[in-house]
Amino acid sequence: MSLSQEPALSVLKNELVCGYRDISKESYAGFSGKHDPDGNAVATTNGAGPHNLQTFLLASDGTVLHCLPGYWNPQDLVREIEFAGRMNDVWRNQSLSVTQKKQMGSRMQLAHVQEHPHAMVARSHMQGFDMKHEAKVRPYTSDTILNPQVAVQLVSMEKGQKAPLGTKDAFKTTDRLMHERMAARPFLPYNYFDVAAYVDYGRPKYDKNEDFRDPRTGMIADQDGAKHQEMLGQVPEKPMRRGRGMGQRMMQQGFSSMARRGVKNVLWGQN
Amino acid sequence: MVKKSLALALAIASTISMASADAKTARFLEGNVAKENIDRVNSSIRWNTSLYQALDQARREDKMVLWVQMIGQMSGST
Repeated sequence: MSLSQEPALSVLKNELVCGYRDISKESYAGFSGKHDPDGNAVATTNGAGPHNLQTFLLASDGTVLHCLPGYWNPQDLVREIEFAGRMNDVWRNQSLSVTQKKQMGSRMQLAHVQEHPHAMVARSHMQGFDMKHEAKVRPYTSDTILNPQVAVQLVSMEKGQKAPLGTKDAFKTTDRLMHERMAARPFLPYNYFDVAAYVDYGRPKYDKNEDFRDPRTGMIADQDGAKHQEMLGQVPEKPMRRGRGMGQRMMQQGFSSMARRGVKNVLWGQN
Repeated sequence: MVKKSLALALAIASTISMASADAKTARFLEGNVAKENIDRVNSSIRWNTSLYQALDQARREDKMVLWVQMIGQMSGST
């Protein structure tokens, strides 16, 4: 995570009370390869892996001031923490009614998009596999898509194929998406915050196969290891292959069911 | 709160020069470096695992709470 890098680390240490919880068993959680603390890491784009990680900024009464879905660059994280501080000032302003605070909070969320520097916006493009997922699953209803006609071009593309020019611009950037979604749910108590809907973009799986990359090139060097790595989170059941006999299928079902009950972290191949 | 906002603003300002890094560059961190980073986070920051306690501390210290929801453990596998 980006929390170890300055300026994020100092801000967390000095300005905030920090806490966390494991959401592995939550229905809205995604899944990814298991990474040990001494495993490799790869810097990624803002908003990547929204199902696997959410960073809330809460007022001391538990009101959600802001929520960052997925991973964020440390500078951008600090910028959003500073914004949450402004939201906190509004929430604590005793001269405003709750209705006024919510209206003001929504406006501030939308306005903050315009304050994002170009570099932050450039860091906030959705991952290609998430764009493809949105274009495939809900091209005309997704709030992530600006131009469905262009976005759907991604659906027929093979893995690893370079997207046609301009395809990326058919999608909103995650910094904009985040503030638009927050504007729709201003100042909610943490317990009422609909995390599942808020983080619902892209595919549930997020993984960069960090531990299977060559440190010199950054490229995946062990395809087989990546394919069979242990996964954490809400790992979907492996689909049944066609063409097997009834008896074999029943045995397979029984074994899979037992394995799921007994083993928390299961093996699961790549898409 | 103003003092805190100023500190945050200064923190942002101090990193503007870093912000020009190529967004497309996927920076690869080897395991030993990644572990150092994780150790730094866990030794520098006290992570509450109870939201109730975190909010109580925030009230006493007049701070906001940064509450991370993640798959895995802060000091273990993720």
